[in-house]
Amino acid sequence: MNNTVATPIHIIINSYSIGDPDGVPCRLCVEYNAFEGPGHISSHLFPSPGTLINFNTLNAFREIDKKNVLEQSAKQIWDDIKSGKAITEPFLLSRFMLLTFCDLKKYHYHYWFAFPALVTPEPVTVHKPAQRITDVFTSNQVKSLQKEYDSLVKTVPHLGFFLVVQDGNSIKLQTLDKANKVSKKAKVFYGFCDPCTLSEHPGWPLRNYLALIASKWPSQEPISIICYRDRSREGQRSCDHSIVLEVNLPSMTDMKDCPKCVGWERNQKNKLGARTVDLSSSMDPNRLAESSVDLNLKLMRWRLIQELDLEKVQQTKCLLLGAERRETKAATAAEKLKKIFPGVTSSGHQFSIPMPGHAVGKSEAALKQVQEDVGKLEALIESHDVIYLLMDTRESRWLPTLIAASKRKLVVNAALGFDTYLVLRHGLKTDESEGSTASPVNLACIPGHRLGCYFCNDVVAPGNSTRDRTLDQQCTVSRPGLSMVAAALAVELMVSLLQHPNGGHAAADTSAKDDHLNASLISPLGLVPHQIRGFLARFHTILPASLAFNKCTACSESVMSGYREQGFNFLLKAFNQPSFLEDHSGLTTLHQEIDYSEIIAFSDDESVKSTE
Amino acid sequence: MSNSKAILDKLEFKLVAKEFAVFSEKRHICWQLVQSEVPGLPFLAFKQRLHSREEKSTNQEHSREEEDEEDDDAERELEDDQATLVTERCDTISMEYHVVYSESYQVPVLYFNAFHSDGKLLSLNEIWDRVPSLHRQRIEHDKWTVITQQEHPIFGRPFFQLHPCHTEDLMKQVLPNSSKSKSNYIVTWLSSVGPLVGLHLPLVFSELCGDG
Repeated sequence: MNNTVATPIHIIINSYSIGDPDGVPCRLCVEYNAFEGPGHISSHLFPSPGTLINFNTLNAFREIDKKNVLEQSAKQIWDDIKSGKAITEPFLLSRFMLLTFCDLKKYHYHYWFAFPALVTPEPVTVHKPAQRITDVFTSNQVKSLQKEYDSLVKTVPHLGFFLVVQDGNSIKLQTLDKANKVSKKAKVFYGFCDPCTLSEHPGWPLRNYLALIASKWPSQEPISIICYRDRSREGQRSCDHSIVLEVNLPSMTDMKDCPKCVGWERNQKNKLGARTVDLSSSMDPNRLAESSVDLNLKLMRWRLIQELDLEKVQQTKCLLLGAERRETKAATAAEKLKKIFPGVTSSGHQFSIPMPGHAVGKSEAALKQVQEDVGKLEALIESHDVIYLLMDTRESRWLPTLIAASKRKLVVNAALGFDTYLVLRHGLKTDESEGSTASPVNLACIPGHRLGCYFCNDVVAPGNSTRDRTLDQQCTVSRPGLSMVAAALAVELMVSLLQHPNGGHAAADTSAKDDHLNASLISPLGLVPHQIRGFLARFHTILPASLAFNKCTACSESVMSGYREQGFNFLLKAFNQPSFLEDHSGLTTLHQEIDYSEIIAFSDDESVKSTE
Repeated sequence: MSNSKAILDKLEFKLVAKEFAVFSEKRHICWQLVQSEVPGLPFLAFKQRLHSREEKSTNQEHSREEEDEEDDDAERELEDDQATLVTERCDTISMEYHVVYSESYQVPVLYFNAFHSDGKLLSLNEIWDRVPSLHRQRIEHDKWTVITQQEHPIFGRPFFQLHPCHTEDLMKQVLPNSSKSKSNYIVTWLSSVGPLVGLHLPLVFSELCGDG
């Protein structure tokens, strides 16, 4: 036998009840307090001592010599019978064995119970079949039996085996050790507390009891047995359904060797094999987290919004772009997400996003690296449904905006000032719409494909904004709560958008003229604005909407077709040549068309920089 | 105890719970009052077994390696044992009920669990399947708010719960108006909501209520 067998052996105490309603099969209850010894069992239950053998491998569990295991237990019972211990402590007749193997990764538990029963050398035959106790005794006698039992149990708690002595009309109960002191003219019934509820059959504890009787008190005459059953229904207690039988019992007094033994429990398929139970749904923390999130979503749907498309929420793949400066932030973020919800699929990717106006190095290695980074970004955007742009700088948002626009992906931008924030969903182009920025549109309700992106309101291209900045300008300092508010709104905006029947093409709700208070809600979750601009100093939010710009440096037709036709080369020009985008998109021309003489004055504290 | 308030404070709960438990014991009904250190409040506990309509094993998904093998040796041993009666396999469900006081709602809350005989917890859907159909129609639209799964406030394990948000309203309608009539809050409450989840208080409990 190899040394992975098992260990340790535990003594545990289980319990059975004799009060079940008809038809309920008898069972031995193993509870979590089984290791604590017999003291914890409730007064109306009966103890059954047992041995638990736990195995370290499934193979060891399967290959253990079952016959041997059963024989060892049988020997314990037989020894207790021979020595007389079973007379003073008859609960030792109700032993059991339990083999277990626990797969703690999957929370699968394999187990097999055995209830060893000694087999008499010749079969026990029925002399008189089972009768209801009320057919054998008068109702007064039955009442008396019950009372006697109750008072005996006060001195000998959990007494499961006893003698019922009928002397004339009186019924008295005795413990087994008084068997030899019973008057010769009295009739003795061997009583035991029976968990079985069948009207024609006694329960399993009788088998070892018979072995005890056959060893200590053999008789040529048939012996009488009372299977005592005691139940309460509707507050009424009765033992009328107890049964009485008479059997012919072959003697076992001369037996020295341990008798044969049976007792392995059959499994759910009624075969002699182990049972398995999968408890992962109530023990595996991942499963528990999943089901609690699932329940939460269900609650939202049932209680509040019947039309909520839960699957859509669960299956949307989100790409979060941000965290430029610190090395391990992406991986850490992915880990943190898993901590919040173990069922999430999340991974962190570390790479740089190339930016317009930030020249790529001349070396081949540098070029190759940038090409790889662009490729990686393109692949990531392709494989996700929603892109969140959460970067520190304006120009770093340019490339993902262009790629996502050409791949028709949903984009949500979040940008922070000191005490202001912007959450913006980019317009979602359609294949027809790329050229349609000229046709008229209702500004109160701009359709999704005409909405602008982050760069549409700018008249200068994103350039290198970090050059010539002082230290405090390089790092955006924000009020502490701002990022959480903006982040939460970004997510909620996205979810509302996804629930809208037109998705990213949904027209924009605005707060112009308080429209947001009166507009009818199409998405089950409410409004789907284009932008949410918040002003923390006044705790005020507005919902503006803006049009796509036909000279936008990120999403205009000319830029997008340049990218589509020239791919990486187009991008490289944008990275390396600061004026390329302005020229290509037509902004340069626009500037040249302005007649500066028509402008009366610039205000002193205005600047041409756009918000970041 | 005369109590026609729809809610209970801590002390009132303790008193009605005690009365309930003592009465139970006298009538051999196995409700027990259990002291608990966590909230400093006792709770009532009850267990019962019910038939399951399902006779199949609860474990449908098994990988091939895990298929339980039959033990031929054991089978042979038992072949000629005529003393073993082999009956139909049928599952029974073990139900465990706890009546725990909720300080925020100021009412008792029914927590319960249901296990298959192999120890596996029933799923929320299985619990719903067991709600009697006459009750089901009434609360169908509110389904997930009525029976929900939560962490037990004392044990921390997952337990099903009858949500307490409607209890006060229910009790307003059901408790006797007159302060002269005797009542036990728990009896009145449990006899109304218990049947949803297989808990039927024996009629004898009505002795704790009625016109005094």
